[in-house]
Amino acid sequence: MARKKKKRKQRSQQQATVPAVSPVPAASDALIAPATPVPVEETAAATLPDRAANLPTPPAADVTPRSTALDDEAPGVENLDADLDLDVVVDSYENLVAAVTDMADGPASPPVRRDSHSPGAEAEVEEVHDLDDDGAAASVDRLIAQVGRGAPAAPTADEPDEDVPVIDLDEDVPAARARVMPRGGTQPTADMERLARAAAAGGIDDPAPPPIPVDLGAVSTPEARARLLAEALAHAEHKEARYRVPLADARRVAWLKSGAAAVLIVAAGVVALAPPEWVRPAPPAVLSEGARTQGLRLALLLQAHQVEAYRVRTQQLPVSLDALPMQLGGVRYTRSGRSYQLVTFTPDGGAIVYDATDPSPAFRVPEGALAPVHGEP
Amino acid sequence: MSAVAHRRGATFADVLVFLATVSLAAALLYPAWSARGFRERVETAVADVEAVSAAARRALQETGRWPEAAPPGTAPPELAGLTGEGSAFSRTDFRVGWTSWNVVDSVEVVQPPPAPEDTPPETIGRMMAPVSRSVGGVSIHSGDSALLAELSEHFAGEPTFVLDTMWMLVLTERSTRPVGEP
Repeated sequence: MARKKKKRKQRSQQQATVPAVSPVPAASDALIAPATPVPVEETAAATLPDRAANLPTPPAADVTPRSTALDDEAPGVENLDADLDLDVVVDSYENLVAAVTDMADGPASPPVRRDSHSPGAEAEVEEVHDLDDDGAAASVDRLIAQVGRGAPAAPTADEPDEDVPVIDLDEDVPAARARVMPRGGTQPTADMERLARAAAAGGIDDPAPPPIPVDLGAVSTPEARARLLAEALAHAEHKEARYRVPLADARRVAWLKSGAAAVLIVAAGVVALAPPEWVRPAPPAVLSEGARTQGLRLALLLQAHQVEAYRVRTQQLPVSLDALPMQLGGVRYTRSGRSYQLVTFTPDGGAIVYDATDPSPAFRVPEGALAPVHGEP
Repeated sequence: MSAVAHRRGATFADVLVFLATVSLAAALLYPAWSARGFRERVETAVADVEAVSAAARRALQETGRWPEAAPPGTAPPELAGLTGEGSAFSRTDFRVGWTSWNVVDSVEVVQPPPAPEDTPPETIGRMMAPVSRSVGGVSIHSGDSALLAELSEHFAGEPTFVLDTMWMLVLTERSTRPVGEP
């Protein structure tokens, strides 16, 4: 059982240190100063002269897992953490193999120290960034500060000067366009500075989240790893800030809308069934009782004129109103000797009587209305 | 981009709010809209009455008598210019009629001077004689009592009356010849 555990530990350490191909700077100051490449072949040959020949060739840089993992639950960050958590300084594939072999044989050997400027000189003490030591926040701050100082990554001798596409993981468009970033880091400096500024400002209000340039071929240097880690953390912080914005509760909004609709429907029903006064237009005119009665008197007087005209023409009263050329409906005619009466009724049943012998004084008003126009005989 | 931002289209609540808003707007605007139709009818009736009156008065001035009476909705020959589509005598909401009424006025009669051999009268006074003449009338026939009331209110200063479903405006200018005389 203990043997199995040890084997698993070796495997995980091997996985964690596989991308480490480039040399590690000797001290923290080396992060600021241009990194000087270490002659890997010489070191490997000096430390493991017989094993190096039997080792397989170093694998090419693994690119796909890191680029996809950064956008999810950040397993890539964990991998980076695992990389940085390694206490053994590994600057080449051969060194890694040697370290793993030593671990398999016994306890982990102390970090290999060498002088980066003179391969033959005595190695200086290197500082290894263990992010788990003082917490993620302090490490991120330190890394951001390093990136902000613009630690230049000097092109190594074995790195070709070709442009590699940088995948912007933060872009939302389905077909994210890959930008070409020159290897060695002068072009991403601007992005890094913008990223550092955004991260220093909290990264929340940055409208354009900083892209994460994944340099597919140069992730092995500590600067690159630190930069990548800082970018990943800044990206994650930006994502979290975006998700921290409280989204509107759709169900609550729907309830509010339904309530508003119910209120509006009730209001519409009230307005339709019992409209308030300000909704109703001016009511139409209603004929008053007095005006109606006065009109009926005028109608009776006009009918009496027809009877009188008949009498003027024939010297006698008509037998009925049918003998007249014009007659009004609803008027009764009663003849008595040389006199007659005309009767009509109001809508409420009241009778209005015109007696030809003695007309009521109430008929003087319509009589005046029917009088000839001024100036006529 | 989040799923909420990708969501498009109207929800059931949105449709409900839209329908409720439209219902409330309809309830608010329908009374004014229906009253607008009534106001248009009143304005049309008033315009028709004034048009028929003006045409009849022109005929009275030209011929000395009012146009002949005609059934409601039918224009007399003297007012034939008011017929046709959209004119006064072809309405569907109400009917316009024209009538002519006889009136008897007492007119002073000039007495001939007495002969020399006649005994002079005890009193000398004016002699009045009845004279039959005619007046005109424009009528509106409609079952809408509000329309008739509106007409009475509009022509309040003139002799009008409402009898059942008829409103009539009497044009009191006298013609020189009574109705029925050639």
